[in-house]
Amino acid sequence: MTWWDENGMNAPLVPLVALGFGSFLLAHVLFWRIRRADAPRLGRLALLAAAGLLLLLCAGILWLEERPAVLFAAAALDLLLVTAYFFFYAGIARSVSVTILADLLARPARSLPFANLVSTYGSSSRFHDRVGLLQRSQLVVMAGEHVELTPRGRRLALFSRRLAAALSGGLHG
Amino acid sequence: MIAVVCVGFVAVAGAARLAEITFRRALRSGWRTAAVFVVAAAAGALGVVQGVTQALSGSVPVTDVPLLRVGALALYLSGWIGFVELRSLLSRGYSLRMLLDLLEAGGRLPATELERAYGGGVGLPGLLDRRVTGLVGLGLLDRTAATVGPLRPLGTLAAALGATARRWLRLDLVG
Repeated sequence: MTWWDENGMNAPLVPLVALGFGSFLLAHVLFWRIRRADAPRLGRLALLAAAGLLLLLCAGILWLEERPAVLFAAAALDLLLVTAYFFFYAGIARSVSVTILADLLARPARSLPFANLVSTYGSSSRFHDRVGLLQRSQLVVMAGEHVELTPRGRRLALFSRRLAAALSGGLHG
Repeated sequence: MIAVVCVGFVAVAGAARLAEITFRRALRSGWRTAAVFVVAAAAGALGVVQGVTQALSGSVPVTDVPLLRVGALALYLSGWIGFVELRSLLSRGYSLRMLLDLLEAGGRLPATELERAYGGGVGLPGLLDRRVTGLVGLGLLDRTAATVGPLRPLGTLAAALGATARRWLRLDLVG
């Protein structure tokens, strides 16, 4: 017997995790390609991740009749992969830094004057698109040309300021 | 078990943050702070894994204990990734900063003024400057006083990955 077998690791961990995470990724890519949207849709992404985890558990319980320790390990590994993917997706969906990198990649010399970067970003709709996202999340409302905090937005701003002071030294943006 | 993981994680996160505050004041070298984080994270991982194993080992065959350790470690690492993301959001969050600017202005601003006053007055140039500084610090690109770039090899890879992922997922409305 190998060390792997002696230590109970001869369970189908990899196939189970591949099933759970793979089905989540496949559903995510298909859904996003079929139905384009202007919002990051993190809630929907979380639902797809939960569905993948459910599929993993169903396969483990109903088909493979695996013991609880195997299901626990497989579910935890699936959660780790999903968490790492959410970290990656947040950067892809909302990161200004990724936008800067992608802009530079498109340039022949892979560089540009900082003033041009500011001008390009400022003349785009990105800032106003972000205000639109806040509006759709009911954190702000548009009152003519003014942007106003909603009570929900005010609570989130206050909470974030306190949490940022405790965890990161301040919210600098 | 979940409580053990959560308590372990919160304790280590709090200790690491406290250590960072303390050491940042006293030391100049970044590697010491990083070392504190690594040691704290490793100690937390060992504590969580050991705690979960002791809590559950009576309920499973002894040959399944390594699986419990694998699962506990995976949960702990998930918590750390979540903490890093939360911390990044609270430090650099674009939308959260806009909400804070509105709050500090009494809750209401003209849209043009909100753009100009972003980040406590630095505006979009300040936002972009911070992001570029961060990218330089990560070794993704070079910078002079007036020019951003060129991309370094790792930056080229990151840019290609990001652009491809955005294209594949049809993410047009991005940061």
